[in-house]
Amino acid sequence: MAKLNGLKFVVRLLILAAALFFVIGGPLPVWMERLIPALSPLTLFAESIAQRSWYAGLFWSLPPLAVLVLAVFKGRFFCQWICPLGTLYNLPQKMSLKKKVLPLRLNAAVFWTIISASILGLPALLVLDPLSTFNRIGTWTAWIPGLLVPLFFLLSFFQPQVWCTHLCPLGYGFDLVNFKNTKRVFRRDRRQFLTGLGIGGAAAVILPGIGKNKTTPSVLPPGATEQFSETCTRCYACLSACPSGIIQVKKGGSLNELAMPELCFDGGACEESCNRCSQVCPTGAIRRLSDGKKWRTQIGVAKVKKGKCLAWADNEYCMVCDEYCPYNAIETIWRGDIACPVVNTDLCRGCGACENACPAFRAGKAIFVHSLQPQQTIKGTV
Amino acid sequence: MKKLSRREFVKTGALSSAALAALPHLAHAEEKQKTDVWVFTGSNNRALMTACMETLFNHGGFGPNAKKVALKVNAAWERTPEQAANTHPELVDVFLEKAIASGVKVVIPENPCHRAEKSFSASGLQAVADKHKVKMIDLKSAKNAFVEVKIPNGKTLTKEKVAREFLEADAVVNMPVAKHHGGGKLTICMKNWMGAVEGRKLWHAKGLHQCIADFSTFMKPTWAIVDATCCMTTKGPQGPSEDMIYPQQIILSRDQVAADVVAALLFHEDPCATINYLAIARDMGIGETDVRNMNIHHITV
Repeated sequence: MAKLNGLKFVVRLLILAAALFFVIGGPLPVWMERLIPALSPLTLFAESIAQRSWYAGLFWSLPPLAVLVLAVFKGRFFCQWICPLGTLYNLPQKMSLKKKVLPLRLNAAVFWTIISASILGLPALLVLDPLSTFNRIGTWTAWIPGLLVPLFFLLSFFQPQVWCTHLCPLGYGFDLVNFKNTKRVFRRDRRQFLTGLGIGGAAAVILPGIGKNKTTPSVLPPGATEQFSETCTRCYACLSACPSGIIQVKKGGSLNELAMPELCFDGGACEESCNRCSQVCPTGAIRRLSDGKKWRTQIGVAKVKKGKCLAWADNEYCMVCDEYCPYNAIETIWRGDIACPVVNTDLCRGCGACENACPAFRAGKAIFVHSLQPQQTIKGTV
Repeated sequence: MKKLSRREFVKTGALSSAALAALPHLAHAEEKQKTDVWVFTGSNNRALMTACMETLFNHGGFGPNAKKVALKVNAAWERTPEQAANTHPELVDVFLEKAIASGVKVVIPENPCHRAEKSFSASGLQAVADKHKVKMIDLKSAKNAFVEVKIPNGKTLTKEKVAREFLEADAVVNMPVAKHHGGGKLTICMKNWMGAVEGRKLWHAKGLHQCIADFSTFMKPTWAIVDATCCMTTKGPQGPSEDMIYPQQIILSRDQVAADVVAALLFHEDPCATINYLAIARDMGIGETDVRNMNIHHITV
């Protein structure tokens, strides 16, 4: 037994190290960013139910299905041997004070909330999936990962693995599908089942309405579906995958848009030949776009603010927006010798190259991308 | 109004006649110092560049003790060589081959508009640089890449942060592609320096054409080599453009202003009347803008 525990410890540490490596990404192929969050069968099923479509291809369906089959026969084997977040929370085990901070076990309620809300089209609380949570460590400066992971890590010093045993919806799912336990577990948690159904149903109905139309709509990554804010589990794989660093965590906004990824063109633009974010999304919130499809996708439309524009307002030779536009979507209006920009909305993809490059400074930038939802596809070829 | 005394009148009169008498001599002296510009024309890019490099070395090369050459190509855009938004890689290939064979070390610093990883590779220039083991330096990500310099002759642009590599090199070669440009009308040699500085964004707000001219008073290359093999006449500087011309020329000069004027003639009848920074260069005397004062050697390859 001691030997097995030693082996288990080594295996878990290796997997944790590998997982951290995937999350941080670096020189690895971009799809590896997706590996950890896409491993969760809970994410796969809840999202597929909510979106009424099996969005993952065969390649990305097999690993989570294998995890599911493993659970049917071996229950929480995944938790004990593989889950990197579990390993992290297990580290303080030996030093743990073994006090009860959270006496109430809530994992079944969380699980059933996710399932029932998903049936109604909105996978509420799926943000608590442990593998999405683990992936967020790569974006630890955002407040959800900055708060959640350290909190439960610290709590593990008081109550060993409090997350895994008392809250984790994925772990509960494993308990439930284990064919030796199904009946017993379900019967044990009848009340939580009902609570979950109630909360999930209410959440799916109430959440989408909260705070709608209050803030300016965010520009979303190319391939984002209309249900982006609802179906995104905030795993931030797209943030790590974006080579321009323009996908950022939204600050403010309504409750259902809380901490969702959005595009910000201060540091760059959405590159013409890049579809990396659409390759890594494990939830189908961003659909995979081919290079050609990405090139034709309009995620927003730029607008010139003439009062701030160096050409329109200050009679300067500028046209930097035109210079940087990869799609030739800036057209020229001549006022004497001065070229002034206007946006051809049929060609503009909303990539933000103009907004990023605009040198106007007197009254701030003079060209901005406005979100286009749902995203459109323009005609034409590469 | 001060009245002119007779003595002064005689004095000025004598001086003026002396000057008038000396004029033919002065004109003759100017003729001797006509600016040399070589225009190579031919269908084969590599042969063109080979001929260009031969002329370059026959006329002093990079200077007697040059060890390090900083080459300013245009590698700003994620565009293919056929789209002609960047200097053609075949020309750079031959340049590097001949330059390195002459015993100098070459570096290629560039402050690209697109991410360097994309623009350097799509332009084909990274591959060419790798082939000759030459470093392409992405000035955007390189640390401590820029040094602030004063531009004593600048009117609007009096200081700028310039890539260290260009300041420390023994010889600087300006090797842009000639193409259409929204704000500048054309971008050739003088405007190419915007890819060697840090604060180019401000140039537009300060007055683009004056800043381009001002910076050219400071940064004068040993050689200007213009890639005019294939040029965009609209939708520059990035393209893609359907309006391409194929002059199949390389223009070589020690005077970047003269090279700009000769290259601009491929696009416009009267460059100084069309492109403000050339008119400013003429007025400030930065370089030769009058083709009558140039020795243009037409060489067919």
